[in-house]
Amino acid sequence: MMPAVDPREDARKSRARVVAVMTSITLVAATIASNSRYRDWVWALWLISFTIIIAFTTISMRQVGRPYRRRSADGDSRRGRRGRDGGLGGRARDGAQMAGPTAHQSRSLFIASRLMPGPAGDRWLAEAESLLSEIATARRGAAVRSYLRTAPRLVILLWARQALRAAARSRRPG
Amino acid sequence: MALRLTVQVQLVLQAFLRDPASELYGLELSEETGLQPGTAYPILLRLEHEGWVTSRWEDIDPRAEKRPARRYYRLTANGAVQASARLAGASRPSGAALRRLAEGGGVA
Repeated sequence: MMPAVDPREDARKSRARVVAVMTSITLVAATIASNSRYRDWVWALWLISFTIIIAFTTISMRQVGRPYRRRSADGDSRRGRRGRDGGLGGRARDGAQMAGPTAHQSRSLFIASRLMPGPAGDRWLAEAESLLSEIATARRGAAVRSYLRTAPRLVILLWARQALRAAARSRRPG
Repeated sequence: MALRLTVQVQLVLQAFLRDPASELYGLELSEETGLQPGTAYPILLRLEHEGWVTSRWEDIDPRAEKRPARRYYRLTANGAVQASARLAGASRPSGAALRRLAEGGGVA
């Protein structure tokens, strides 16, 4: 007979991991700060930044699997996206039973998409999800890796494009 | 800035030019070109930015189809002309370069 699985076990482990990561970072930062020749306020800034980064990452990780609420700016009809009918958050809902990336792969893609400007990140993630749900299981790992490998360049490209667009808008009279 | 015609870009354009009126989605394109999907995506984005291709989300009910909507790409009229002209002037990728791409799905 299979042993009973406690559904709260995963959540407990996940919380423990987050607490462990935050504690280690705080300890390392505090140790560096205490031996530093820099002023305290410089390290206070570092600590605050670290905390924000960790909190942001943690929240992003915990949001995987929840309905998606960010609005698209490109006005596309994007049914089948996360939060409605399919994809990361919606895959298990409504008995749709779509095949797709594993939880770990989904989380990595989700975090990478959060580093991109809003709508562009949404679109990248939606396209990745869509493709990964159709690709053969044997090829899925390589496909996810290829998305993650090109993500840093894409992040830079998309933010640069966004900055250029903003600069052009600010130059425009009126 | 003019689009740099890397081997990967050439492969994507050739796939589109096989039937310029047809629409291709990520997986189809990846299978036709042999490129990894993550490699093809930035190329499609650049082609779209240059106005060579347009894209749209497929209009389906994902619950009925049991899969998410696909994003379809299609060459624009200008894109078809430009791509044909640029490919005609481009040097053909070597066999070794294509083999490397097939093995590693290299980045454009």
